[in-house]
Amino acid sequence: MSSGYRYLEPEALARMKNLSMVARGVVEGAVSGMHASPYKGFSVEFAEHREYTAGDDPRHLDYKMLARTDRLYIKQYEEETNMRVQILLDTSGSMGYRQASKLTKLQYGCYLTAILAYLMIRQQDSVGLTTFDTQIGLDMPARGSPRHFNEMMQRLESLQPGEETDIGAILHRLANRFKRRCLIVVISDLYDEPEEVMRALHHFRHRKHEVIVFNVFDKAEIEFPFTDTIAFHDLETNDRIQIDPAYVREAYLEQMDGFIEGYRRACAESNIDYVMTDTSVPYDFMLSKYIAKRTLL
Amino acid sequence: MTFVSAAFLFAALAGAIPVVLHMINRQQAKNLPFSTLRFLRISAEKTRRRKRIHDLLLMLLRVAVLILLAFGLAEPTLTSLSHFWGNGSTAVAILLDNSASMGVIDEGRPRFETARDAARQILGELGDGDQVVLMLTGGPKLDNQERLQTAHDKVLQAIDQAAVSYERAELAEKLRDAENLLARTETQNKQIYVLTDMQQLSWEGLKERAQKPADAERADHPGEQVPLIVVDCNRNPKPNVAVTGLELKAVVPVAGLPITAMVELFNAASAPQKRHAELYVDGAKTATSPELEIPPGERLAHGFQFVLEQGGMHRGELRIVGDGPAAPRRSGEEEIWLRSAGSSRGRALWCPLTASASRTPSTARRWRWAAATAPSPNG
Repeated sequence: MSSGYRYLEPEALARMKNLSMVARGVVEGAVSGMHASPYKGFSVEFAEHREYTAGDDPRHLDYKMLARTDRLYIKQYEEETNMRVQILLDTSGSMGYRQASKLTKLQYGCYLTAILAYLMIRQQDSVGLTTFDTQIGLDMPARGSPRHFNEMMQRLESLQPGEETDIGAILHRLANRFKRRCLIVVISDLYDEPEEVMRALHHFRHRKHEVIVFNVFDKAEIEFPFTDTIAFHDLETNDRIQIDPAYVREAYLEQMDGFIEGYRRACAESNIDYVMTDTSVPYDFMLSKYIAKRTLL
Repeated sequence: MTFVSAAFLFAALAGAIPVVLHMINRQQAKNLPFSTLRFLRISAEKTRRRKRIHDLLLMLLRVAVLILLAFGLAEPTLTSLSHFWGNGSTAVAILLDNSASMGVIDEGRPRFETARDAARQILGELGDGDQVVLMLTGGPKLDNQERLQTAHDKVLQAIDQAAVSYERAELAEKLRDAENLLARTETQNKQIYVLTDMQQLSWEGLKERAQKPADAERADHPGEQVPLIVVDCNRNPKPNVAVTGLELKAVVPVAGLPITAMVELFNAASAPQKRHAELYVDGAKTATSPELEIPPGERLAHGFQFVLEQGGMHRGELRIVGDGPAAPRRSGEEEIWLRSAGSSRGRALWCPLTASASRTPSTARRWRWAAATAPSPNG
């Protein structure tokens, strides 16, 4: 059976059907849903008392409190709302790399985007998609309609890797654009200066957004399994370098470990969820594992 | 070293193959895209030096393998393995001076005993399998004296049996014998020890020996220099100056005219010696030389002029006077005998002035001369 969308596999959907993505903090949504909202309304969950002021609906007066204290108090309740999720997908040249897996990192990111969008739409949340390399490419604001989802899936299918990356600057720009608190999902290999990237992610956190980073690699980038002398050329800059992998492997892996660990540590310090994965790991498996862990936390 | 198949040495040119292959492989590196070169650049920079050294060593190893292969195919043959490896053992010749002077007692101990202890010590230093020969400079030959042997106990026995002889040591000659003996062995480590009291006379002929062509035994080892270790057993070197020559000269050998006595002194000690020589004629001191400084091992000539007042037989004596208490006088050992051969008043008798010398073979050095002079024309 086919879902009709390239990046939405029925098997993955079947495996994810019982999972729901819940915001860890509060999000600002327009529709009532399953996530905590910063707006105090009149819902089921009691939040606090507020002194009555002229114009308040007398239906919300706390008469018990009035009887005890002879003062007028209004009962306030936690409002549950829907979540706005903005997926930021890196489409730079390096995301087009594929060596050890059948998927490029960009394709892997597209699958991840599709399944996340599906999960969110299914639980009445709104999802938006922004792609970027050195510039912002596709920019779809968060909505929850099936039509919006349909358009998003179609747009995903036409994505192609671009050229160089400037993640730090782009994320800063995007952080300024999202006014309402939402969940930011970054899917990228993060090949930029880590300090710049982390500053941009802090910017999101500063704007009260919740941030999840999916750092996607190809397995060959992590394990560097090359043997013969190879002239590597950069997918973004087209620079060339001829090396004997046997000599540089150790130093390369050391660099790579430092790069990943740096992000992991910095994200942990900033209360950002950091998920490192590679394209050989099934995206639905990786996502299920992450959501399960997130739910426990 | 020779080669059975020298033509295979040309195969050493194959040593260039790894270099060529290395250059070709550089050109044929596989092209691969990669997501980013930022880590590869840093890693390559870090390992560049190590890679260069490794590549160079690898290439040299490959070249060396091919060259050695060619070398092996050429079948090199070593003419003498012992020259290449050596056999590890040592051959030692011990020349033990047993001349009469070795019987002198220094500081309460005969020099020969000192030499014998040194010989035992040398023997004790040798390991099993080392060859040794003991050679005495005089006296009856020992058993197996001319043969290198590994039975050190027998050599030790010979050392114990050796005794001082009354012959003069001919060390130069014995050294030649020892070198010839050692030349017959293939052992690479060879040494000659000479245990002597360093008497100058014992070394006579050393220069002549060095100028002689090598003996037949040593012809196979031209240029081979055997280390020579000389052990001086003379604990207290004594002054040792001797008169080795005296010649009387006169233009006209008649009374009243000057006669010259040319004296030759020899310093046989190992240190410079200062001496005065005194000439006595008929028991009276006639002339004294200034202080004569004689370097070790050197000879010095000095001339005395004196006049005989009357013709006839005269007795002369040369005394060597020491320059301190450490140099005892040896006067009285050298004498001059002058004798006239008749006289005739108013006539001159022309008789040649003659001098004859004889030297006793033993340690005493006595010189006797017979001289004849004519009386002066005036009587």
